[in-house]
Amino acid sequence: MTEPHQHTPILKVENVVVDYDGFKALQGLNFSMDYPELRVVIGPNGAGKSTFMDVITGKVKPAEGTLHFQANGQSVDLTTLREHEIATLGIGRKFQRPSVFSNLTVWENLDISLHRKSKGLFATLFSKPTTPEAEKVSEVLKTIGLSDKAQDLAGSLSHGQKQWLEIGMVLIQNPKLLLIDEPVAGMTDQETEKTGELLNELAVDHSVIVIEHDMEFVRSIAKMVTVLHEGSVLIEGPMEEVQADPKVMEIYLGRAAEADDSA
Amino acid sequence: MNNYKSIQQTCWIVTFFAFFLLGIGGASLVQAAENKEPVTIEGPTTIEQAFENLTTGDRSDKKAAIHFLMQHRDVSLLPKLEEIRLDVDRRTRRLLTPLIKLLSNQINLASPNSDVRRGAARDIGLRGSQDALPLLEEALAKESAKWVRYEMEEAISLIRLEAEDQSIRVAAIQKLGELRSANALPVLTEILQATNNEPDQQAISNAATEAIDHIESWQTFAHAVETTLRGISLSSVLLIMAMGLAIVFGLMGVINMAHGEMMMVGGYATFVIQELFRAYMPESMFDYYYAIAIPGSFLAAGLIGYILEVTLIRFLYGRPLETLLLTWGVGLIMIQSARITFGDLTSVQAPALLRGSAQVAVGIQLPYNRIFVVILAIVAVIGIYWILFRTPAGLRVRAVMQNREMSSCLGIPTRKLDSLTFAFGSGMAGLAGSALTLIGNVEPEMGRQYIVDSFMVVVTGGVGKLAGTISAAFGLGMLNKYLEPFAGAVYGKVFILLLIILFLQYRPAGLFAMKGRYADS
Amino acid sequence: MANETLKGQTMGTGMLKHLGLGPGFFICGLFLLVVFPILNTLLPETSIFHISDFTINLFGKYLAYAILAIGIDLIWGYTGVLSLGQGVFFALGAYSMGMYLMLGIGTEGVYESALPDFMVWNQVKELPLFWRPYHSFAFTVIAVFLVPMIFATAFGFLAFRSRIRGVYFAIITQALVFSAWLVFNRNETNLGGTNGLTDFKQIFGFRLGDPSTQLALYMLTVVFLGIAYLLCRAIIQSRVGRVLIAIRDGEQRVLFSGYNPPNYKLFVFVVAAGLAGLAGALYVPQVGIITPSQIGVLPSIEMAIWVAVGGRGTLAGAVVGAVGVNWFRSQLTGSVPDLWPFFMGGLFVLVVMFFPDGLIGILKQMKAKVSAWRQSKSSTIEPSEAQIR
Repeated sequence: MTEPHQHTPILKVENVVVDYDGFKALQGLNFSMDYPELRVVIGPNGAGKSTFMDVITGKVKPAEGTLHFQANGQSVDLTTLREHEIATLGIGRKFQRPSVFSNLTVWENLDISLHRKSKGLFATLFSKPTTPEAEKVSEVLKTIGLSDKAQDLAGSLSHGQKQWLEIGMVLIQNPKLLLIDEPVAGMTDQETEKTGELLNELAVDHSVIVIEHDMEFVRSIAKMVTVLHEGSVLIEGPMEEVQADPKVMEIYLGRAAEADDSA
Repeated sequence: MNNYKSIQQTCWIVTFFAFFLLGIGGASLVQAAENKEPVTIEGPTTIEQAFENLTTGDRSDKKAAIHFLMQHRDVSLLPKLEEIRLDVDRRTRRLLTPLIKLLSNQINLASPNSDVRRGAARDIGLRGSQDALPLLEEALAKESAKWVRYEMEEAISLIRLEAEDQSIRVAAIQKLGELRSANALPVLTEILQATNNEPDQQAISNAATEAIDHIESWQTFAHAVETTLRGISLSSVLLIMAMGLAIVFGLMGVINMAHGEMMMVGGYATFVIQELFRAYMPESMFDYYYAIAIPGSFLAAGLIGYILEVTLIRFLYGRPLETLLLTWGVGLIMIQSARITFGDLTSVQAPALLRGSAQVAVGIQLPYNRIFVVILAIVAVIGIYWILFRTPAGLRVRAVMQNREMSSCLGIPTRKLDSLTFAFGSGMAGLAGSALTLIGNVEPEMGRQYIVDSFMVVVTGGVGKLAGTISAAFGLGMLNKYLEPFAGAVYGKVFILLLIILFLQYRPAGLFAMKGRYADS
Repeated sequence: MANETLKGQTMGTGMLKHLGLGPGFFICGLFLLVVFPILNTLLPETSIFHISDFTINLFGKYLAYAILAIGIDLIWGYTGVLSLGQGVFFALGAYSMGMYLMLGIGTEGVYESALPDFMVWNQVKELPLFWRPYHSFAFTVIAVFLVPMIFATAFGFLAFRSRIRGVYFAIITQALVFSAWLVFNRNETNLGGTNGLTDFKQIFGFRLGDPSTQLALYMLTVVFLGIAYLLCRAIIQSRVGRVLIAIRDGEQRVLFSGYNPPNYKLFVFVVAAGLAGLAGALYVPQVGIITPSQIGVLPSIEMAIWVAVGGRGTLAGAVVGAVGVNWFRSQLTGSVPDLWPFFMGGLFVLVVMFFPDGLIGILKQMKAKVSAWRQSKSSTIEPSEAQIR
């Protein structure tokens, strides 16, 4: 559906099927994206958005199909790897509900998420905090605007701050591909705006996939949009095109508009 | 299961008829024996003469007299014979014993009670006196109860083993083989050893080999069947326990370690109801206590479960580990309370209807109490399915299981539902406890023996699907009993734990796991 | 706990500073290791400050339990993995030491045989193969750690690999301890059956009956407790410690941060098993007996409660809980044994319902209240440490 790329895409998903006891959450999904790029994935409930993320990050193994990820100049088959291996390869994921380590400080949250050569047990056991690492943490703290909260317990942050902290934790892993699930759910307008800016900044040197329900927000950040429906891609293209597509209007935007009205 | 029930019914009917027939038949048998003309060979010709010989004659006279009396089979002589027996010397006494036994067995063979008739037939068979043959054959002709007939045929064949005629012996051996007689096994083995190297008795030795083979393979089969039955009954107890646990865990995420103690409550409720009946009800009503005890134990355990939920557990939702520790502590308190109130060991007398067992085949007994436990489990499963899938309450429970917040928004009183579900789950354990009183003792720690196994069932079965719990209960219960003969109970358990751990490598969420969106929450 | 993690973040200068050891550690050490033994040996028995041999022996037992409790705290309090099977590892250490002590009886037993009495009784003709290495003290010392740790590695590897967690792990470990208990109870395993191993005479040439041997064992226990404490503290304050807390708070996030949580869990599980083994080995010569009833399902779950009573997630809490609960048990079972199960059961309920942070938590709350009260009195505007958090 999209134009052929001249170079190899960073992520190429082909014919992926995910089967939950007979219920096909994904049926023959094809997807690819470039580096760097910001892509928004939308679709009604049950379209398979979360499963799509699960399958990329290794949480769910597909019954069929392949997922190839471009890491260090090599194409790696993601279906053979486990979650933490995929994370180490350079795929970061931010969950829908903020999941930070509430009994660690903001600094520690970032420190343990920090990209390191090895996150194996013994490497971690004998690793010592270094100055470049501390600088990196400070830098990310600045990016997510939590510098003055560094020594606070993450559990004491507000909802929006936790979302940013988690984005920071994903960022500091130094990923090439970022998966972000509903980043602005439950955020204030101000926080939402700030998040939009943050995502656009990230898209300069990352590939970012954002799943989002808030159409206002999608319009404000999206260039390319992929619409999922019933486990496969319905349409893919620039936001204006997608918005104008009658199929999309029918299955998604129409309903979303209703929902927006009632809200 | 209907099978068992119909077998039981048949047994009752047969017994009833046996009573009826024997009321008339038994009397006429005695009469027939009296009217029979004695067949004399030599020696005494009248009863008086025989008695004379018994007390005064020499040894051969005595033998002849006894032989005469055996032929004569007059049971009315029994009191007199007993009298003589007290007076004579030991050797004569020994001669007299078979005669007395024969006559008393003859009386017993006419008894209205089929068990007494069976016992008599077995006794005659094991004594192996040729003189008893006609008696047995007559009795057999009149007998209608299946297992009494079996015992008589067995006895006849056992006696015929001693016959002179080789063809009769071979026939008897073959008959015993057909009967799969366990009683014949030692005798047949002896015969085989004695005749193995005798060329002229080849027919006997061949028949014996075949018969032994037949009997032994049947015994293996019977043993397997009995093991299976024990496995089913253990599985049933586990199932009733585990279903309560699984529902409570699936719905509320509460691990109820006091579930075993709820079972104990059921046991003691049964005990208390029994004692109340003993104290305040007429003797004839006693057996009905169990009919009260079944709902009583359910309600008692359910009530305690309800109180526990309302006062403590509801404050711990979403913290399963905490509920685990808390309920363990509650269990400790309950055990100690029971120990102080009731002492260490008490037992319940099963109602007459549930005592004893039904014989379904040679060497295979079905104890009524175990059948009852199995039936109870089936009723419980059906009941739970019915409640969950056919009633509005069940619909709500399922809704809350899947999505608590949404259900709450839809106006389902989740809190109330939780309390009732917990009470229901506890009540199930109480029911299991009541059933267990029929099998074992009532003691403060009776629940602890089952709690680990029940949790293994829940873990193996997976949470959220009853089918998983049912198959895991049966899988583990049967495995437990099948492994016992080979590995012993202890190593069997260890082996099962190992199997479960390995099994979870392949299916971490159990047999029937919920997959998808809700799997992790 | 927040206190520890906060301090751990400052880049370490001196070893002690890095460990963040407060004066409490040294004061406790001083009392347990110097003052108590002096009060025991130098004061006359009539003095009110005299500590009897019996008390020293009891505290030796409690402190051995404390070593085990520290291990439980590491895996449960910090990592959030509740193991109800620590009794198994305690047993493996205890029986290892017990076997050495059994062989040390030599021919002093009732039957005057070189074999342990129970083997003579069970008509075992020669020493089973697995007993033989326990003639060696060096082997025993290694086995005390290694046997439980190897066992924990095998079990933990399978359990964590298949992502058994939360209550599932608790239940499986309970089944494990139940199975182990059954096996230890059997006579044919040649571990003394229900009666266990007992009637020890001497250790390393010293008579176990001597008060001086018992005092030495007590002091050894204190030293090992100190080492165990420092070891666990070092683990907790390293990055691994933070990963452990992170696993407790959100295992999935840890996984997607590139760590493999099963390895980390396995690590602490094995460390905890080693500590339990050590505790068992120190327990046996001081108590003089080890039987399956000391390691079954019930004792194992009680071990978790010690930690909960003291305060999960603080190492000091584990020690306080183990010593406190067991001390109380000795007091209560001596006077009103029938009440003990009620008390223990009540403890489970209380600590879960009302004091989730245990005694240390209560202490901290009181401290915070006192400092808040002081603040309001002196009416300074400077925020206290408690308020920042």
